[in-house]
Amino acid sequence: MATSILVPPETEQEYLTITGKVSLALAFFVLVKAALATINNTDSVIYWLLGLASLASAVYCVVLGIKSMKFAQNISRLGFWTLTFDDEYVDYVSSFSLRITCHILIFGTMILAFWGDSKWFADLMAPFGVTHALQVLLGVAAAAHGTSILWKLREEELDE
Amino acid sequence: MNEDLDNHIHKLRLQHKISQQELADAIGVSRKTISTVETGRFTPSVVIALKIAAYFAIPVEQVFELK
Repeated sequence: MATSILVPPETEQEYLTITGKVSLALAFFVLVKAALATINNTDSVIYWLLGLASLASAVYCVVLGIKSMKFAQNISRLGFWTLTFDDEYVDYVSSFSLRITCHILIFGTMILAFWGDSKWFADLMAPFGVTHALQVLLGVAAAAHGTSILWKLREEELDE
Repeated sequence: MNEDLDNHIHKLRLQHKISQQELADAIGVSRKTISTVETGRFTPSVVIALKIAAYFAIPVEQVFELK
């Protein structure tokens, strides 16, 4: 449980929703950046469109980051940085999404740690390098984090 | 989804004519917590179970029961 003053559950839910959106924007930015590295023709329309999408996602990420700062006053410092909440369901969703993200990162980094320099791995990843493989891993992990949060906190019809 | 646990929150809410939001406000949780507990997608802590039972003024066994 977060050691906070009494925070309205809806405030915690709103903050976690923004965190999910930040994760998705970050995932999009990182994955597009990795995709850009595979395009040789930097004058192509695809390259410019991806570059524009990358810039837009970076700006969206910063805007959401600034928006989330207002919650720093309402949620305890521990809860704000560690995504720990008083509301049980919000805390469950936060833990669930972090667990998925942690598993993806551990699985991916284990592969990179043991076979990152192997020839078969380099052939498999071509034309990507290890840096791009890490970017893809980060992007997939962030996408899983954001998607799981937004899915579990999605709006449903009120069952009154 | 907890396959072992059943609850009567929906029935109790209808009897008392209160919405999920009103019940959530009364016991200090989010509406999402109530809706997911009610549909069996989330198993609440003992604290929330007791708060719900106390709100309806009945024993917790009459709100939650093992299938």
